[in-house]
Amino acid sequence: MKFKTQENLCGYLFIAVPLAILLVFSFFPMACTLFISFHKWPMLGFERPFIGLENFYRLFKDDVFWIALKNTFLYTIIVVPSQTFLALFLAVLANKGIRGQTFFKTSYYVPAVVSSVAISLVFIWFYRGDGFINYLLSFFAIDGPNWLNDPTFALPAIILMNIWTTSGYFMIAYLAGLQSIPAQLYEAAKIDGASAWSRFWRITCPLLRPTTLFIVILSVIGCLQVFDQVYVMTSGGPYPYATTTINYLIWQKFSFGRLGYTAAIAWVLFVIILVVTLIQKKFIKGEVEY
Amino acid sequence: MKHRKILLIPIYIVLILVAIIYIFPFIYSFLGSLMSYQEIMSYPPKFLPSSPSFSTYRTIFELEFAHTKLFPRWILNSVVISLSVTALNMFFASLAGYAFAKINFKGKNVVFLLFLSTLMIPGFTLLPTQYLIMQKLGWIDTYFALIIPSMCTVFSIFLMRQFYQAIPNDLMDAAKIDGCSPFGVYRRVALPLSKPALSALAIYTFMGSWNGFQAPLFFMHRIEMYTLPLGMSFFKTQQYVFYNQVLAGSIFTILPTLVVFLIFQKYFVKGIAFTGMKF
Amino acid sequence: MKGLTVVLSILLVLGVFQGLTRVKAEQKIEIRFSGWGAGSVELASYQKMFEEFEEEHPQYKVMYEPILENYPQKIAMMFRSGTAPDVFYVDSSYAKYWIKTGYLLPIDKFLEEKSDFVPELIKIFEHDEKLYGIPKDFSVLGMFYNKEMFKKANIEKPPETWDELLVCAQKLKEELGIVPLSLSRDLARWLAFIYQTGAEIVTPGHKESLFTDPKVVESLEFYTQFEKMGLAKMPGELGEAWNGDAFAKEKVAIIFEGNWLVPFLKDNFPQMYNKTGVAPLPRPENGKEVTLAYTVGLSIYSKSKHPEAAWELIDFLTSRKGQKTLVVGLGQTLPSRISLAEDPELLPLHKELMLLYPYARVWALEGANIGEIAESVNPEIEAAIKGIKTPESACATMKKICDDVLRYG
Repeated sequence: MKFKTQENLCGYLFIAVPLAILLVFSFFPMACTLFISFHKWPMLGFERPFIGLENFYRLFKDDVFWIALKNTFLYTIIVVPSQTFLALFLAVLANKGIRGQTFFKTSYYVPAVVSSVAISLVFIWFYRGDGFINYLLSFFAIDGPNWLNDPTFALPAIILMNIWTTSGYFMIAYLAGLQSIPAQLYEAAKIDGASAWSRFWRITCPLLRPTTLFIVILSVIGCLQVFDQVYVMTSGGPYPYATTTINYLIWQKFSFGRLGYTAAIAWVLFVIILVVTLIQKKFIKGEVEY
Repeated sequence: MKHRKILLIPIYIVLILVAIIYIFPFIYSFLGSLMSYQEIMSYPPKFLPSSPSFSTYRTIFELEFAHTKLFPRWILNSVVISLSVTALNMFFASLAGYAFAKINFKGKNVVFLLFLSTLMIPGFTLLPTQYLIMQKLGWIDTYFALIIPSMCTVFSIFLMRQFYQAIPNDLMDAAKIDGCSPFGVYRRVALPLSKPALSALAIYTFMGSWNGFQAPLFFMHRIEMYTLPLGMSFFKTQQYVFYNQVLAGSIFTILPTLVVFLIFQKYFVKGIAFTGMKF
Repeated sequence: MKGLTVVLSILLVLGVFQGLTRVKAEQKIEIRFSGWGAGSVELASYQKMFEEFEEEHPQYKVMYEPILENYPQKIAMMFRSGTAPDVFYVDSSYAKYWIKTGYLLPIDKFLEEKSDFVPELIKIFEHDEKLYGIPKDFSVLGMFYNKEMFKKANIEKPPETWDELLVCAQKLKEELGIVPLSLSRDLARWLAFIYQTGAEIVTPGHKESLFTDPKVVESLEFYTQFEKMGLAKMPGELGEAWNGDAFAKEKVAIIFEGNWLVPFLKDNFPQMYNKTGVAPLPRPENGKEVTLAYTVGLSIYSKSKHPEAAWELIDFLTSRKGQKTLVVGLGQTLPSRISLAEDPELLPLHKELMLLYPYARVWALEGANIGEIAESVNPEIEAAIKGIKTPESACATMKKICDDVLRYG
């Protein structure tokens, strides 16, 4: 009994600091925006009438919202698995203990840290109608499109770019996770005659589940909120709104001070993300059993 | 033995090819920073500078206002803020992550979900309210505004929680039987094993803090208080960007995060695994 | 680890100390001044001006706090929390809006003489018979053309009407084999052509938009016909970020841009700069000569503690002397004072553009944020340019979008 209360006390003590910070800087502002979403709330101005669900009605009637939703989902469904597999691949590759390991690990990590302006510049240059990528494609007799200005290819172009940057970013989580797999397990398996692939599939993967859950949940949340490259490289994309994502929509409305409408869209996105996350938690068991 | 060596060659080829693809923008950034504006904008696009010079670097370091050399000052600001945030996260997130992973306190799953939910709302929608709060606290235009809200992020807590979950409970139980308090268990069993996770945490947190743009933009007023990514916005006019200056400046946004990575990545070496595990 | 912690703690203390102190100028009145940053050259010019100002008025000190991105959002937050600077920029596109919120101080009592300012620009900052801001400079749209290409194609003078433009473009294509025009999908360009037909885009009360007005549709037909005939492309289609890049790299011969193109060319593409000519926008046969102007004003925060000091700064920066350094000297924008139109330091192309001010309408609307309307309808303009939608259909959608924006405004 005593231990139970001690446990409860300890638990809350350990999380006291982040809890306090989140209360002030996250929960309270979130509650405010929820309140605001039921009003017409211009950033500047004194009339802030309560309008109930009108912001939400307006949102669902807007064609652009549905296009943005489609773009966002498409983006997420493609990027998350690709980037996760790639991150795992890179981590395993870089972890082999061969010479030059540090150099390789660092190189794979670099895109994640290079500033998005530099990356945008480089990729705008790459993706030009007469740019590097089409130059490479011409060797295969393929006539490449004007990527960023073509409604069919603009989103794929950004998807490819982001898979490339974020895979290095999450490779680090996998590298850390790989360290917690005891070497003895591999030794024992080798003695038992297990092949490299079998070792990978039966030892590495299951034991990396907590890390995989972490990566997948966070990258889904991140992808559903993708915004930066859309804004910098394509400003919402060639017609029709080829790369407009929900977050871009939110930003647009926010930049004109339409706080009420912005809050409504943000909360709709929030619900979507919450539901998706809960579904993921159910399906990907994050616990490791020995 | 010969078998092994030959097998390594294709692996090396793959590694190198992938590495080239990945470092390319970094190399381009560096080469671009040695070009003049005309060269970068030239058509057809150039990859190698014809007369490389470091003059762009000199220009950005000369940027001065009110008798302060701005670029070095921005670097200082970023360093102080990012180091503080990283150190604080390493301490607090590890405690919190451990609690969520191994301490069975009442309501822990609900609380964790609540924590996670704060990631699901786009940050800038909370800015107006946060600005008002900062103003009431008097933290506008000080380092506190950028350090305190990020000193223990949900991202970090989540990372540590996942890591601690992977530690088998037997180790904890053994310590508990020995009469340790929960904090003791944490300190003696969990913490020593956390080096890889803490390293990942350090890398992620430093990077996130270093590249932050929105918060410094809104919470800082004076130019001297800007952080580096924000200061880079000076290298453009309303109409166009001085790409060569931006690329030069971006080298400084990249280098520190790379340095942090290099320092901590040695913990990602195969072999520093759990010891003393009995099955 | 221990060493690291020590170092970190020292840095933290140092940093906190740095971050907490504000250098308090002894007994001087601080005037906080903000705008959006426009680069290091402007920073240096401002520095010089502030030093001169402080010499003339030793009791004042200027604290320059530029907001590098998202300027209106941050200022809005500062208005609401009472921390706005004393003097700040106000863009014409939202000037009326800000005035109506009451956060700007009327400055009639301070301004002695306003006749030297371009009248259209002053009007933007007037409301209910009071004045709320002084235009610090302005920009205007013109038609820029490649003189060399015109000569090669035997075109004697730049086109003056819509029909002449069409003929001219066809000639350029035939003789030189290039795409003659680069057109952007921007209301901030197309609007000039709308105004030329005598049409408006919103009703006087701003309750409804007028995009389906036949004259508006006609102007869109004009604007979009070029691409259909292979006579124009959007900058993105040419692989460029904006019309200016396409023009500078000689991919096209004619663009509709403003005076900002001039320093861009002069600094980065000097050969092109020498070949550039400028003329007023071509107008329809029975239309008016109209062009668009953009301006930024300086205003005082209604809750400023030092309005007189704030006014002194505004007066100084917008005076003949001030504008000579900041506007004429920097060469990015045009001076808002008519008396400076003949200034010898003004670039020749700028001089020609200044002549257009009597025909300029400012990029603003009485009761809505024109920037917001532009952002919402620009994709439809693109659809029309690319021929994905007919001009009528695009205009119909634009009306729907704009009405929606107006209703919630």
